[in-house]
Amino acid sequence: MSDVPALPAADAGRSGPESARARLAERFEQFASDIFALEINTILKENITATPWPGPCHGLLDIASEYQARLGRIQQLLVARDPEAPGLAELVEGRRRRDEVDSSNTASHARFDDLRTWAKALCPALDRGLAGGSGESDAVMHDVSMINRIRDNSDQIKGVFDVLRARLRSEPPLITRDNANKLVLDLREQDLATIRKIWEIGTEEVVMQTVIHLDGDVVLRVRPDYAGEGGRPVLNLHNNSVQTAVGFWQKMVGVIGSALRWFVGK
Amino acid sequence: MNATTGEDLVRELLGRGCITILTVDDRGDAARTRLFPGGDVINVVRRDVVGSPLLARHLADVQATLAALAALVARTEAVLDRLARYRRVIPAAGALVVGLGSGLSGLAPALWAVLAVLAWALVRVVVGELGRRSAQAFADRLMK
Repeated sequence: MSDVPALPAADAGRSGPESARARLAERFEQFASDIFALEINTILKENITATPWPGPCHGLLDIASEYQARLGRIQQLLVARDPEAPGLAELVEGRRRRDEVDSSNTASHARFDDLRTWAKALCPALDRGLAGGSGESDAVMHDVSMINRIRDNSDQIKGVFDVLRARLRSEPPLITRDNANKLVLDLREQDLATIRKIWEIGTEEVVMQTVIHLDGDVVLRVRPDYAGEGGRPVLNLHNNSVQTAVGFWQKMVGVIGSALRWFVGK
Repeated sequence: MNATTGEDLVRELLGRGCITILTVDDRGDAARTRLFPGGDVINVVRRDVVGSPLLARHLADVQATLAALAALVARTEAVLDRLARYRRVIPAAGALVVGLGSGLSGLAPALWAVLAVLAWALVRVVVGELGRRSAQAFADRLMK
């Protein structure tokens, strides 16, 4: 775990109209970079807690603790299913020793690197579970997709910390619950959006996902138990969301197009 | 849904990073749709709400949000188009101002010459008057 001091992040010396202009430019850059692919996720939950977005610092801490808890549960399940899986006992012992040294909830590049490493270390045992055909393959598949998500998203968040380090020209502060309210992270708009989306999805089971690329490729992922007639209401809901997303996208592209027309004077 | 006008929605988008459309019932949040700037959508729905009229209402709210945005976008596009037209007029106006400026700067030496003549004439008048008055005062003193 990183032992960098918890210091408030500087606002990189930007203030006033210059800052507003830079922020606006970043937002435009984000719009422009985000319009090349649309992602629509539909999540079903037993209960929805009306937790508002707590900001990037608490958001990162939420993500880290949620990922840690989920990886812990997956590890427990794997041990219960197949205690003899190669390397699993060592992994469990390593995690136990690590938690004895430091079990505090923090957010940093090192923390997400640790979560990524843990997720990757669980892959062989999961692969063995899939190959074993234990009759729980659906559950194992969910775990596999969750592990993949944790690994990929941890990488993305590590990238956010890398960018932050470059912007601050020093190690970003270690985020804890104690300093999360005081810290002001000078994040790029697209990084803020990345954290926000990752926080929003968390470790929820995405039942349907559509990714539409600008070149026309459309990828639809549906959980098998929602692919049949029983899943029609959810599919309708998801389709509606896809239409919403495309409509929203068209509006955004319209604005960008108008801005470009204004820029070139045509 | 908290925000109702396009301006409110854009403020929400810029301030909070996304637009949230929330539908609640007596059990709390029933459905929540978040629209992100690039068009990404995250839809979270309580399981028991799927297929219910409440969800239909939520979807109608989402469509209403989109309509409010569409109205704002149409207005924004109109403003941007107008600006694009002004943009063509502004260089012409700028050229006119620059032309006038260079014309005036060409006239400057002549203006300075005129000013210098006027100033010299003024000095001569003033000095002459002062001299005349002084001579008169001196003569008056002699005549006493």
